[in-house]
Amino acid sequence: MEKVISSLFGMTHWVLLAMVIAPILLGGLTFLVQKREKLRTLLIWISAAIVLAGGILLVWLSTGNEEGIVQTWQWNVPASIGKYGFRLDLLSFGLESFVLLALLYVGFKIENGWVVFLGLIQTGLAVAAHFVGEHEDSLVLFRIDNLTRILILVTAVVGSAILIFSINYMKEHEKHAPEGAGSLGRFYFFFIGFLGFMLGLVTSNNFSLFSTFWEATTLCSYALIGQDGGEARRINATRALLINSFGGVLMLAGIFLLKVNNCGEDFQSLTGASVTVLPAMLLCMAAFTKSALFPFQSWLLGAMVAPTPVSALLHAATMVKAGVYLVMRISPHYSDYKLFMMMIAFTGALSFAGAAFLACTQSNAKKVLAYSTISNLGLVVACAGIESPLAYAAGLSIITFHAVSKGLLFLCVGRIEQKLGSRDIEKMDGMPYKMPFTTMVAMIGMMSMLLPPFGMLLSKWLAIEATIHSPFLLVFLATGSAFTVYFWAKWMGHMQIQGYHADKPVEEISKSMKFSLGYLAILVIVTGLLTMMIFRNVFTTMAAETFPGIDMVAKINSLYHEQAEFPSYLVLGCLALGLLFSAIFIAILVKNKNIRPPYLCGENAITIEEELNPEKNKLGLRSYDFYSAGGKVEHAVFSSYYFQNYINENRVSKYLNWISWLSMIVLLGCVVAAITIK
Amino acid sequence: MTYINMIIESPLLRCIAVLILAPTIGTLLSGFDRKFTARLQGRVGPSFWQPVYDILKLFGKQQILVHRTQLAYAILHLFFMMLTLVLLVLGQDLLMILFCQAFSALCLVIASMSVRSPYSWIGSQRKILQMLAYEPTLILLILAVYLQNNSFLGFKVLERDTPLIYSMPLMFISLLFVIAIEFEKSPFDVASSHHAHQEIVKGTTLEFSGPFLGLIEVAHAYEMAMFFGLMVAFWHTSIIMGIVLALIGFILVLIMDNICARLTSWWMVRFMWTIPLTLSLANLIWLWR
Amino acid sequence: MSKFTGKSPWVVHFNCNSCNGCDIEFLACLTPLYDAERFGVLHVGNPKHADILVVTGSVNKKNMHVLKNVYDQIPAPKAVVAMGVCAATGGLFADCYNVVGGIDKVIPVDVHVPGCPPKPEAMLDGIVKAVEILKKKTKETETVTEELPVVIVKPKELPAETAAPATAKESEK
Repeated sequence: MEKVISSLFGMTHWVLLAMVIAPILLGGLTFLVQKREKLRTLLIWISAAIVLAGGILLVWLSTGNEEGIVQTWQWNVPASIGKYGFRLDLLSFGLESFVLLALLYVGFKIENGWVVFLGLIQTGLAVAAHFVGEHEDSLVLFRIDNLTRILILVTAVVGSAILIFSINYMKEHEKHAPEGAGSLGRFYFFFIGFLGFMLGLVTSNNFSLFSTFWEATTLCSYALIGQDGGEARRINATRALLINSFGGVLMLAGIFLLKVNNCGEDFQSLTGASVTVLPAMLLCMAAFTKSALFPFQSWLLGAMVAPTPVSALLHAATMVKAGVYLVMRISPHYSDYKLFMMMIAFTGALSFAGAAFLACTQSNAKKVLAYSTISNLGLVVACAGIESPLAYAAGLSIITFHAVSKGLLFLCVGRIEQKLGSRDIEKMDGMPYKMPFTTMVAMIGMMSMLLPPFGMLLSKWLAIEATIHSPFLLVFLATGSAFTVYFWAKWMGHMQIQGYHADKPVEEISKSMKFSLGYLAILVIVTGLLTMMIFRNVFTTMAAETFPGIDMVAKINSLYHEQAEFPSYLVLGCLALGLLFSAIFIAILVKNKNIRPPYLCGENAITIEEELNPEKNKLGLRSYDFYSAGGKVEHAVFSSYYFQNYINENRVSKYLNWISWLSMIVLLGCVVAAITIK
Repeated sequence: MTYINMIIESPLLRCIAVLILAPTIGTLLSGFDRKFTARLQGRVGPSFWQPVYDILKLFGKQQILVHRTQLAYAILHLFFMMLTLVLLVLGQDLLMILFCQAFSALCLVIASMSVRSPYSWIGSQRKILQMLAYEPTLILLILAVYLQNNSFLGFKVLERDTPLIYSMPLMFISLLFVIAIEFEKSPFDVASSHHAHQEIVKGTTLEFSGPFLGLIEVAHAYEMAMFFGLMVAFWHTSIIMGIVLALIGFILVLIMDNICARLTSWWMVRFMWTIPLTLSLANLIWLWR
Repeated sequence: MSKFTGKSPWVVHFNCNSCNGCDIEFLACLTPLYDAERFGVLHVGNPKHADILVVTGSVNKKNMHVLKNVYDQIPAPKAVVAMGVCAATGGLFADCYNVVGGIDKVIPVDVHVPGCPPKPEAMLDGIVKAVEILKKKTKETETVTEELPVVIVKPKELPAETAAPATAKESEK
């Protein structure tokens, strides 16, 4: 007992425990006071502050720097304590069983046989995994290494911003909520609680704990997708639950196999020994379900019916990152199994190109974002599978930068949707005048996906450079990156459609929304400015430390010195100069007398005087109205190409799913071959 | 000669020299284009300096605009095109240069989408399709360069002993198609053509007039110079051979422009994703080590 | 800069109310046979790029606002050539119930080219004359036209917002 207490003595332990438990408690508290608006808002602010401060504190406390290498922090406890040998792993097993029982309860409640079936299998596997095999003398419950630190920071920083945004969003949302929607208290219980689970997920090292948090995030996701009630949401929520439960089965099967072979019960057991290859593959497949890679993408697309903060937090910034986190955790140890890793990379690359392609066919903003998320997660997995430190570093940086940018974009879409009443890109017309702040922030977010100095493009660049020796992947990355440009360009153009306005536009936006959007936008800009520095000092070092062996470090240096020389300040300087010149020219050159409506064969209905003086424009003519036959006024409609006549989303998804199922089978085949031949 | 050496050795002077020279080369090339086309049609045609007159005239005209944002994106378009050239001259990472060029094109697309003009809108939609069509081919081109030099850096190309054209002839052919798209030559001139009465009037550049059209023309001159430079780089060992090669490539593109009609944008995407892309892939295969 | 204005006159042509005779003749005149490009003349499709507006045909009540709009969208300095008699005076159509008259009723004209239709040489000559006038103008020249001679009756109401195109359906499945 003393040992446990002394092991608890560190500050970090307390912060970690608090970080996992406090959000769950705060969520419960918010649930209790949901009717009292001021108190509720205060609690949400407090939770956001705690998550942010705690996350940063945790990372800071757990980082010990010795001999130039960032240390890994571990929480070791003896397996049994007390006079009667109370086994500590029973505690984590208890938690796991509790969550699985909750899953079963949900299955029974919605009377879905498949959920119950998968839940039962999971429970069986969990129990079996607990009782077979030998138990170790000491447990490593939690472990914080570099990868974990990145995910903690992402969850804390992006999560808190989204939480703050949701205050006003949900208030507005509740006014128009459909019949049968869940209460705000229920929403915040799962929403804030989720942050705790996510932090637990990335820090936990013991498999029982890990699967506890894994299932808990699945359940949170299920509850939040179904938040607004109604048939469509119920179906989508159930689908998310089913697919993630299937992933849970795969994961628990992997854990079970590890236990049966006496490999251990935490992540250290994935050493790369041939006996652990099959479990590693099962864990990777579980990760694919969580990250919604092809062929499991349907749940993430369906999940877009949830309120936007949910999409932002769970389905873009954090929860789906749990999947790629798992893959990145596993992959460095299995570089000997070339075919295994290549298939992982192939699945990722296929998702990258396929999802980017399908995003081109969508006009629903949230769906475009969802596909883009899948595409980027695919790229991370591809990076993890390429097995080079450079690619690994690129993967790490995609996880980080993508979370910030995508969180920001989702929030912008949420706000636009609430104001316009539509999430259709085609309806986003005149945005710079209607909502200048949101448009600017959204443009920053989209630019950060494409513009050279920003992190996303940098990572894609490194990923392409790292794949140079796998021709197979190259084609996917080259085409996928072309598709990415295509769908972002269409959207950016739509966001910028506008007429001339002599007066300055103002946007009514609540302070908390403005704060959260501005906070993320500034973060995007700052990380964009420092991308090269961050990459050089953080991600490469981390990748070099992850891959054992000094030759790897040498390799990374040799590969790296080329990129290090890239003068990103030139790109930024060019951007700054361009904006400066634009500001000057706009101030000098743009005068009212030089403004003309667009060319419509001279049939413009609006005259120049009317365009310049809105009070003269009594009919409310717009610059794109024109006289058609018979003197009628009509207006031009602007619509992008969506390949609709050529490509059917469902059919293409079917083909892509088929290819990815095949690749899953090949993955299995590879692993079996690897085991039997070795 | 000492001055020339000084310019070549100092990166800053080199950049300045290129920023001044490139638009001259670009406008001369398009002057050559117009003269050549005129001769093919059996007429005298304008002088070689005609594009220069055009651009200078445009800068002297009234600054008509539709709205403010348009101007900002036009300036970004020009600046990023200049940056692309500067990075190329500094011998930087080729892939990053490609991304800068793509962003520059993207700025033009956004500028012409932002005005509520149907013609300009369709033009920019087609411009994105053009980008979609040529981007994979360009990426593969750069990867092929990597496979030979083991480096993405541009100046490593210049340190080679043998010209690239020996090992990448098919890549050169697919580059010609990319150039035909970039220079808006038939049959790929779907987004904004040099001929007056096409179905979308002038496409992407429709809503720019006066000095702002001049900005876009200057950016186009930079772009022409850059792609001409890429062609020259295929025979870097001898600058004369390089220019001859590039001129041959350019004339081939011009002949294609004169004998072809404009085809649809979808045909363009299908074509670019089949023939030039497969040519590049085939070329990649024999470079593989 | 006026030096260069003379060297690259870009022409936009507008068929106002003509019988298409002048129209066809003018376009034929810009084909390779007469090689107008040797003067730097480019035939552009829209007024925003043009320097010289060539108008064929008379103005009627239905299209005078179009002519005015096209003229207004040309950046200064700019010149106008009235091609053919109809553009000059209304010609054959002068007494029609709907015809306002020559184009100078709506926009200021710099060069009149007579003929029905004018000869190609006369057309080229007219453009060269317009270039001479163009050289003397600066960009400070007044560009927006005066009030129209006839009031345009605007429609009572605007069209309803068009539904999103069929391609852009929200799918919530």
